[in-house]
Amino acid sequence: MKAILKLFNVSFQYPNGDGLRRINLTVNNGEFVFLVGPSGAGKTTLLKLIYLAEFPQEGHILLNEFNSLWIRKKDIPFLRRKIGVVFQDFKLLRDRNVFDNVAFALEVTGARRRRIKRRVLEVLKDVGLSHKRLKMPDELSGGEQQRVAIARALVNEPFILLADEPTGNLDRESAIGVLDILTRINTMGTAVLMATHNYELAQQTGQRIIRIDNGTIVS
Amino acid sequence: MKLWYLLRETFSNLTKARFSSLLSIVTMAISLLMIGVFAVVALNGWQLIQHIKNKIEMEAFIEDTLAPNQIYELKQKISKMEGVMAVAFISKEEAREQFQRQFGEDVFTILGENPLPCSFRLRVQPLFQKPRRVKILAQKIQALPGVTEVVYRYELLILIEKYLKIALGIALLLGLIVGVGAILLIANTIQLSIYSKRDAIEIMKLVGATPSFIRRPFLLAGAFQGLVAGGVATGILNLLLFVIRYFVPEIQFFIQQVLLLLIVTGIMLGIIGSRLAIRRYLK
Repeated sequence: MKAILKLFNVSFQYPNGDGLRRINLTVNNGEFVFLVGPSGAGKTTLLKLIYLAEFPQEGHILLNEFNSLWIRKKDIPFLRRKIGVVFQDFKLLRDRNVFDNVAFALEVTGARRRRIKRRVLEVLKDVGLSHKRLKMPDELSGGEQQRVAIARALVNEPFILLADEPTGNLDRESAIGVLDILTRINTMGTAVLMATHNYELAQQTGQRIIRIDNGTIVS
Repeated sequence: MKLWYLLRETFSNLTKARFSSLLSIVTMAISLLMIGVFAVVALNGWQLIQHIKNKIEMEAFIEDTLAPNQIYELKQKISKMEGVMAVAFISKEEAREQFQRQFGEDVFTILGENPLPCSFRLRVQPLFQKPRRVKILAQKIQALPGVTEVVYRYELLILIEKYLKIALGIALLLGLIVGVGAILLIANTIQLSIYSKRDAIEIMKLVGATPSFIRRPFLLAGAFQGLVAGGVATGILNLLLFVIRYFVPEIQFFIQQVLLLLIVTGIMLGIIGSRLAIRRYLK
């Protein structure tokens, strides 16, 4: 199976000493991988390095045709259009409705209005929120807000979806609902790399689990 | 970028942080008003100097013995010289009349004869009104056969030139200080309104918006604020000049260029200020 993400001996350290040490990791096309570890283990840092919000201080990262060593600053937005990112706090725009929040990710690519409308309705259907497209984020439950965030991450048809504790703020039922959606997306061909501190949740799915602690991969 | 998106985001940027937008406009209007007052003083000072310079004439005295056709040829030669704007022939008789107008007495009555020579009175083109160039022109005219002497107010030209340079230096320095100060002040104020959009900017970066895509609506909003501020500053400046003219009616101001300058400067300040303000969010 073709690898779409590879980390080679990646190290990164914040000024306070926290960070990652010599991380090697491969995610194949269409794979679902859990990144499990306690708070402060380095999960978020690892995801940040993948979407190049931070750059490795040692080693390098391959993402499809992009290489962290050679990528030019002006190409980073184009890389991010091919990576979907979902956060624990959803990061939705409070002053826009569900439709506009999702459409936003396509507007930045300069897509035509007709395509935006069609594609947004498609992904909203995929996450089961077509009927709530005109609601404002504050009118939705936490689980629904996370589904909007997933729809936004998917709208550009990414080759990988990075999810940083997407169920962290949700009750068990909503968390399972979000996980179901991520699994469904994965079965449709998008690779998923999900960071969570909830080992049990990851174990239930039967997917590959990478354990990270204190900045290194432990298993 | 789609136009409708650009306009929608620009409008949103302006209306979401109304107070900050208003503050930006007020800050810019005050800065522009300062620039405007400064420009009116500088422009009118410049016009005054040009007016004085234009009044400076050069007089070339010629031999009394020249025949009318020789005088005509000499006049043609001088007229064609580079830097000469206009040439007028002053006959002995006209010189006598001018003397009488200036001193109230007839030179003929005083001396029993008219010693005043014929001359050409010439005005120099503005570009040639520099001491060195006027001197060269005078030397060329002096060298023409039939010309006995060329006189002009060389010292006054030197004086004007010297003070003009000092004034210009001070004006540029002050203009630079006010301009840079205004840009920094405006950038700080605009930063307040951009701060309220920082979450949107972060999300835009995450979903792959290019820096220019993120920047453009803010620049357009800044340009709009600058335009409004320019309009306000223009209005206040006009009112100020109107009040001054009301009390001192003989003052004439040249302000058309200044008004246009304020509008254009306002737009530029808005754009530069926004660009500086958003820079830190795009790192």
